[in-house]
Amino acid sequence: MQILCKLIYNIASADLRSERQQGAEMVGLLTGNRIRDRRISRGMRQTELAHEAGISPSYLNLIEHNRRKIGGRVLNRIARALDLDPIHLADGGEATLLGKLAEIAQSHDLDTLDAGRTEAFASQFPGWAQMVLSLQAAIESLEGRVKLLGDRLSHDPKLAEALYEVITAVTSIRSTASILVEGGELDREWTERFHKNVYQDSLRLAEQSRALVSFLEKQGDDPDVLLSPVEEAERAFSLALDTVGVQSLSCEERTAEEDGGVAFAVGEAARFRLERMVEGLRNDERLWPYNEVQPSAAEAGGDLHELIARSGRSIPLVLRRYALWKRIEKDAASDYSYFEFDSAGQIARADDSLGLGLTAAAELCPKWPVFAAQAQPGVLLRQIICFVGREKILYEATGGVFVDAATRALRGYLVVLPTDAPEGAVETEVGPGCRFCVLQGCLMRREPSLLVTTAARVTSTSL
Amino acid sequence: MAKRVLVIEDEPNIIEAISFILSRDGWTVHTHSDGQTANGRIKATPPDVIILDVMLPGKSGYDILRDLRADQDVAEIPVLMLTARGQARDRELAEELGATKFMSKPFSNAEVLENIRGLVD
Repeated sequence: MQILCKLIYNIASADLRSERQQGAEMVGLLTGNRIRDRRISRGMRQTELAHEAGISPSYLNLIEHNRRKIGGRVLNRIARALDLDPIHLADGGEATLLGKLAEIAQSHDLDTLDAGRTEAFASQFPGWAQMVLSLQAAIESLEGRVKLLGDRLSHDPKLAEALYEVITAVTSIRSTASILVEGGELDREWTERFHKNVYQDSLRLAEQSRALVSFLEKQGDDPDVLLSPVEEAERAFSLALDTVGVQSLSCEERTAEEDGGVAFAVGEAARFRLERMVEGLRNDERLWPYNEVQPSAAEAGGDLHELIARSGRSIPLVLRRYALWKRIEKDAASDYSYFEFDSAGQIARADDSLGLGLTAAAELCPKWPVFAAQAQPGVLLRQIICFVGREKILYEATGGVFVDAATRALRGYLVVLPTDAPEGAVETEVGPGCRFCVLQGCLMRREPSLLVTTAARVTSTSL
Repeated sequence: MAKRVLVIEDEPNIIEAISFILSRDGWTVHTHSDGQTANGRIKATPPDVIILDVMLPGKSGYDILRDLRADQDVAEIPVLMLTARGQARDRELAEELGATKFMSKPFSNAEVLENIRGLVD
């Protein structure tokens, strides 16, 4: 993508220089201008275009000089005559197209000079501009898929076990074959033993490889199968909340039809987590019933810190109940994320409406405040986070590590809400995990990013 | 006197291959395949060097290493850790727990010999 953008830039800047040399004037990109530019680039006369579009040449002239606004059928006919998608001519579509191109330019750190030529690029090369958008959409889709698969490889116990068996068999074959080939004089007994070992391991390898391919083929078409146990449990939990409500939620093995419940098919790992989540919910319901949480949250204006101050409850309980309130109050559900971490720093719950990409066993960015909170148990930290991704977005992250009353183990909590940072607020940049983070020059990076080219990594290192 | 190496690994064919190449290199090789009793075995007959797999039945190699480093009698024994996962995180964890060296599977026999010899030089 970086190479493609650079190539397009070189072509666009060359053409612009040519226009300047001819004394051409750069004009704004209203519909009329775009029609005229496109017509000229296709070598069409005004009369020719007007005829194809079914309008008079004088009317076309007024349109091209932005003295007549057009839309609907006339716009479509002109677009068709110019072999263009009408969106490239419409003012509204222009804004969308330019906006998206500007986002892409920013996310790929195109310098200010290049970014300022977005309009010229989109106007003169609409096909290329559309292709850039399509490629970016494809990249985003693939990035998401890679991340899902990466997380899946990290934490799917069946997949991990299958891969472990394959690697173990390969290790044995490699070591044994090396002895047979490079080992010099071997007596007959050892030779026979090693041949037999290689044969056994090759059978095991073949069987595991077949099982792995079969597993991955089944997984490939069903996006739901790519869910981690945490995600699977979270989804079932959410569906159950929607279906039966907070007070009625329980997790028992019986037929759904028996008492109006709803049945979920979840894997064993997800089920284990789901049972813990439901147990936790029921405990919290005893401590602070949801029908009391609702008015308290409303009185606090939906503000988490106000709720903490007013409620007089333990911080972990308030954080959990607040997240539940955000989940259930549908209007607010889209603008928060909530995570819980166990004492090993692993994600135990992930309700990620904001799409931050923190998933179980993912290589989490060490800059999240919940990790700094591990050094200060019992203290609630509050930070403005600048999330590094395709767009730089600001959030307020509130989190802390507290001793769990039941298990006496440390438990981390993190609530993330969108925010407009106050003037002068200190922002902490966090990423989606080193493997997929594009932030360069980070001193806390643990491994190279898959999304940064080798050339770029070398550049950042040399700085 | 030959140096003694204890190979803690539960895969029989890997044990056989590693034992063969180490014996041929002049080592006295002992093997142990149960994670749960590994620390007891180490304490009873301390070797000069340990090759320790991570995935073991009963107790993981990480836990065995942690307990080894916590026991003053055997804490100084060099350990070559083997794992099927080569991610940076696994390496960091092994180093944090006190592994002297770390190798990810699959490895070559030459790598094993080079690393083991390096632990006692």
